[in-house]
Amino acid sequence: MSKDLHITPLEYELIEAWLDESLSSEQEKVFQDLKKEDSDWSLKVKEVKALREDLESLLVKNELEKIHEEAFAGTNPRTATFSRWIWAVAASVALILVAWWGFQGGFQDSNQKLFEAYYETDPGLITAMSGTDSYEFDRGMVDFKEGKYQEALAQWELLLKENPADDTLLYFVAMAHLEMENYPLSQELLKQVADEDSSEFKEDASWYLALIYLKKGEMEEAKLILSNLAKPEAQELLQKIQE
Amino acid sequence: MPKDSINQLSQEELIRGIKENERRVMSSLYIDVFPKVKSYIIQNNGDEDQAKDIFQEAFLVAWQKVKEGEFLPQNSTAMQGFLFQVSKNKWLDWLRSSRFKKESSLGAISIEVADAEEEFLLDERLSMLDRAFQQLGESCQELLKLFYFKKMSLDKLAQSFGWTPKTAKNNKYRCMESLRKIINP
Repeated sequence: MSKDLHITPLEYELIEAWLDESLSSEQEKVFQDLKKEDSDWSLKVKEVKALREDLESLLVKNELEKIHEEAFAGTNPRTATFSRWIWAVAASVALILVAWWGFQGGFQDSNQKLFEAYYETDPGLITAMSGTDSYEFDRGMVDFKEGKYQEALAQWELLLKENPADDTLLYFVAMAHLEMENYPLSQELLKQVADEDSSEFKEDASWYLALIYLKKGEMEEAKLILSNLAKPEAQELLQKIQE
Repeated sequence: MPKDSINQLSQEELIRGIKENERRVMSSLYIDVFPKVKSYIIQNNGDEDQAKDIFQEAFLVAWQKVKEGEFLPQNSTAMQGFLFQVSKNKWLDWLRSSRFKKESSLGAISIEVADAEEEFLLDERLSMLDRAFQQLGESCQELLKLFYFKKMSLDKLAQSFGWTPKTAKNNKYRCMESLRKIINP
C-alpha cells in the first residue's frame, strides 16, 4: 500500500465482485478492459484485496479477544462448566459473610447482602448474533454487554411491542431493568418467563425472580421458588435463608 | 436459542460457519481448544499470556486456511485437531526461533524464522489497521463490521440503517476509502 492510488466507486465494486467471483458478464467485460487500459489495475486489485482481507482478519481477531474475555477472563454464571471449586470458594465466602452479617444484625440488611452476594449480571448471549435474525436485537445485546442498559432497552422494547410473547426478549428486557434497579418492572417480566414451561430461560428467570423477592424481604416467595430450582447455588441460598 | 456446541454440525454447516464468521462456531471452537493449548504451552515452558497470543494467531491461520479451501475439515473434531496442531507448531516455532536468536547462527531453522517474520509483519499491519479503524466514525465501523465480518448483504445492511441499497453501497465505499486514506495519508 505504498503508491497513492485513486480507486473509483465503480472500480471498487468491480474488484470486489471479481474477488467474490460474482462478476456479471457486462462487469466482466469492463473489468477486462480496465485490466488492459489501466497500468495501475493490478496494484488496485492487490490493494483492495489486501485491505479487505486484513480488515476481516482484524475483526476476527477482535472477536476472539471478546470470546476470550467472556469465556476465560470474566464470570459466567450461566455456564454449566463453572468449576465446582469456584462455587465452593464462593459458598465459603458467602458463609463467612453470612456469619459476619449475623453479628451485624438486621434481617433486611442481611437480605440485601445475600442478594448482593448471589447476584451476578447475566452475561448475555455468548452466541449472540446467531440467536435471532434481528439486527436490532443484536445491537441491543452489544449495548447490554457493554453495560449500556438504557440503549439496549431502546432497541429491545420496540421489538417487544411487536413480539410481546418472545421469551428471549422478555428475559433480556427484564435483565436490563434489573440492572437499572427497576425491580417491580423486572419482576413482572420475569414472572411471565418463569411461568413459561417451554422457555429455555425459565430457570434463569426464576432464579432472578427469587433474588428480587429476597431483596424485598418477601422470604416465603423466595423460598418457594428456590426450592424448585435444581442449580446448586439456589439450594445453597435456600439453606442460608432457612438458617 | 443458539447452542454452544458445534459437534452436531455437518461438514457443510461447519465450513459455512467458518466462512461466514459465525459467532457460535468461533466461540465453541475457541472454548473447546484453548484450554488444551494452554495446558500444552504451560507444560512446555510457556505461560498463560503466551498461550493466549499463540492460540489467537493459530486461530487466525486455521480460520484462513479453511476459508481459502486449503484445509477441509470433515467435522468439528478434525477442525479442533487442526487448530491444536497449528497452535502446537507455532509454539515450537517460537521456541526454536528464540533459541535461534540466542545462538546467532544460520541454518536449518531459518525457514521458521522467516515465517515468524512474516507473521510479525501481519501483526504490525493489523495493529496499524486497528489504529486506523478506531479513527473511523461509529457508523463506518459498524457498517464495515457488518459487511466484512458478519457477511451481511448490502440490501440487509441498507434495511438495518434505513438507507437505500445505493446509499449503502456508496457509504461502504466512502468508509473503505477513509480507511485507506488514514493508512496511506
